[in-house]
Amino acid sequence: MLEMLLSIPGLLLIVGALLVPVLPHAPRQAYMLALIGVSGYLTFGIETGVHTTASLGGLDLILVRAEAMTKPFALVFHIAAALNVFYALHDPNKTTSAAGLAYAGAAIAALFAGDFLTLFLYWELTAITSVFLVLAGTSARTMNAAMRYLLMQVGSGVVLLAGAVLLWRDGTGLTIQAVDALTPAGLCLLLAFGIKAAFPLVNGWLQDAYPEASVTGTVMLSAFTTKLAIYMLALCFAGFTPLIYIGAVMAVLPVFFAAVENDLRRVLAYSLNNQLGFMVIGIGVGTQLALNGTVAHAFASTIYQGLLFMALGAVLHRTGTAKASQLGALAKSMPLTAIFCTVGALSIISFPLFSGFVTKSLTLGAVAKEGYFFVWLAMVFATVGAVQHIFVKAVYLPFFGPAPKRVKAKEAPLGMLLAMGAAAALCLGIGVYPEPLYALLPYDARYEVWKAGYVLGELQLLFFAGLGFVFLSLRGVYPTAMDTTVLNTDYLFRRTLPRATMAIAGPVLRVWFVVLAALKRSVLQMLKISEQASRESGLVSGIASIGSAAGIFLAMFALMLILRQVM
Amino acid sequence: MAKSKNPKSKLTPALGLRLLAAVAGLLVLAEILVHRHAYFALEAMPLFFAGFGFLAFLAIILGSRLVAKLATRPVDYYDTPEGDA
Repeated sequence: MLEMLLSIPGLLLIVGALLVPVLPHAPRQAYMLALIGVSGYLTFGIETGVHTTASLGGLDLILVRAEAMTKPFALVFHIAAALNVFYALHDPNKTTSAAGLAYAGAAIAALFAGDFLTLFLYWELTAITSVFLVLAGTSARTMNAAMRYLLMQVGSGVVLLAGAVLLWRDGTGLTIQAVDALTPAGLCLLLAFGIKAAFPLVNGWLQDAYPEASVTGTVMLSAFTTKLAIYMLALCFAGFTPLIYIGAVMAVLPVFFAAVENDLRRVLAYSLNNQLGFMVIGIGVGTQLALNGTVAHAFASTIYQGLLFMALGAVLHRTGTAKASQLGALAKSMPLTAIFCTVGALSIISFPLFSGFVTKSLTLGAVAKEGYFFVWLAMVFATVGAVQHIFVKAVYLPFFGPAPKRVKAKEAPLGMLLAMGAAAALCLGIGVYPEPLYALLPYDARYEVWKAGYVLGELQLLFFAGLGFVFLSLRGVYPTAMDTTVLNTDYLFRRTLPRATMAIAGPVLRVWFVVLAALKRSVLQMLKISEQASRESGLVSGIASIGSAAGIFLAMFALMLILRQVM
Repeated sequence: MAKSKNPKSKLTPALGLRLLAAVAGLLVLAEILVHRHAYFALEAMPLFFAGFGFLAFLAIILGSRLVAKLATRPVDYYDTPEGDA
C-alpha cells in the first residue's frame, strides 16, 4: 500500500489531504509542506518511460509514465503547491487547504497518466477538488459561479471519456500519444483539453469563476488546470496547425477585455488566457524549439502569474477590494507587495532579465523561423497588451498611481510575503540564469535570446508602449476604471443558451398541450359512443361476441391509462 | 468608460516621465550602433519595435472602447430578475 502511495506521483498528496482537516493549523501547514517536499523529491527522480501498469477488465492501464516534457511540469506544479501553502499560512480554512493539496496531487498524477482512462480519473478529480476552492469565495455570486465552473470542468471530463471510448473502439488503444485531431475521437479530446485550456468560446468559465474564489483559492486555481491542459495538448496535438490560429486569438482577444475590466483579479484571468494563447501557438507550430518554448513558458508563467494573483490577492485581503476604480498609492502601505508585484509584471511583459523574456522568446523565435508573420505580429501585439493590462493597469496604477480615496492598508501577512518573495526570486533567477530551466526542456533546440539586437527590439517595444500610456494619460484620454460587468463568452451559457432553450421549448410545449387536449376530448367522445353502443340494440349488445366487446373496452382503458400517465 | 477626461493627469510624476523619455531616447539612438537581425521585412524597418509598441498601445485603448461600448453592462447585470443559469 505504502509502496503504491509512493510510486504514483501525486497520490501521496491526494491521500495525504484526507488528514489535513483534522490537524491543527500550524502542524497542518508543516505537514502539507513535508508531503509536497517528499512528493517533489520522489517525482523528480522518475526517468522517462513506462513505470507502473495495471489491468482492469481487459483494459491495459498505464498508471505512471514519464515523457520528456513531464518533468518540468511536475516540478513547477510542486513549486506552485509549496508556494500556495506559504501563501495561505494566515488562512485557517481547512477545506481550502485540503482541497488545494488534493487538487495539486490530482494535477501531478494526471501528468504521469499514460492512458486516457487513468487521465480521465485525475481529470475529474482536479474538477471536483478545485470546485471547493471556488466555493470558498465569500461573494454572493460564489455558489452560482462554482456550479457553472463545475459544469464546464466535469463536462470537459465527459468529453474526454467519450474521446477515449472512441479511440478504444477504433482499436487505437488508450495510450496517450499523438492523436489525429480530424477524427471523432481526436475532436473530442481536442475539445476536452480546449475547454480546460480556455480556448475561444469556451474560455468564459476562467474569467467567471477564478475571481470569485477566495484570496488563497484563486492563487491555487491559477496554477494547475490550464497548464495540465496545455501539457496534454502538447502531448497529443503538437504540430496541429489550426492551434496556431486558435492560440493567436487567445493571445489577442483577452487584451481588449482586460483593458475594460475593473476587477483586477478578473484582469489577471484574462491575462492568463492571453498567456495560454502563446503556449497554444507553440504547440500548433510543433517544432522542437516551439515546444521547448511552450514548456518553458508554461513553467515560468505558472510562477509569475501565480505571483500576480498572490499580490492582488494580498491587496484584496488587506483592503477588501481588488477593483481598479478603488485602488491607488498602495506602494506606500504595502511596499514589499508592490516590489514583488512589479517583478511579476516585468516577467509577464517579458522584460529582459525576467523569466518571461527568456521563455516566451523561444516561442516567438520559433514562430518567426517558421515564417508565420501575422501570428508573430499578433504575439508582439499581445505583449503590448500585457504592458497595458498588467504593467499599467494591475500594477502601476493601484500601487503607484493616484488614490481615488484614502485606502487604509497594512503590508501583507508574513506567509504571503514569503510566498511572493520566493516567486519573485524565481522570476528573477530564471530571467538572469535560465540555463537550469533550459536543461529541463524536452528538446535540445536552443534560441539565442541575448543577442543585442533582439534585446534592443524588446526594450524599444516595451518602453514605447509605456510612452503610449504616458501620451494618452497626458492628453487625459487614458480610460479611467469603471465598475461594470464585461460580457464574456460565459454569456453564451448564462443567457443565450437558456433563452434558446425557452425559445425552442415554448412552442414544443404549446403543441404538446394542444395534442393532449385533443386526445382527452376524443376519449370522452369514445366513452359516449361506447355507452350508446352497449345499450339495448346498440353496436356491442347481442351481436358482437363478449370477447370483442371486452377487447374494445380493454383498448380504451389502456388509452385512458396512458393519457393519465402523460397528463 | 473611456469617455471621462481628466485634463490634468497626475499619473506620471515629472521625474519618472523624464527618465522614461530619456531611456526611450537612448533606445532610439542605440539602433544606430546595434544591428537588429530581422526575420521579416517589416521588422527590419528602422525603429519598427518602437513604433509598433507605441501604436499598439493606442490601438488597444481604441479597441477597448469598442468593447466598452458593446459588451459592458451594469455591474449587477447577472443579478437582475432574469436570473442566472
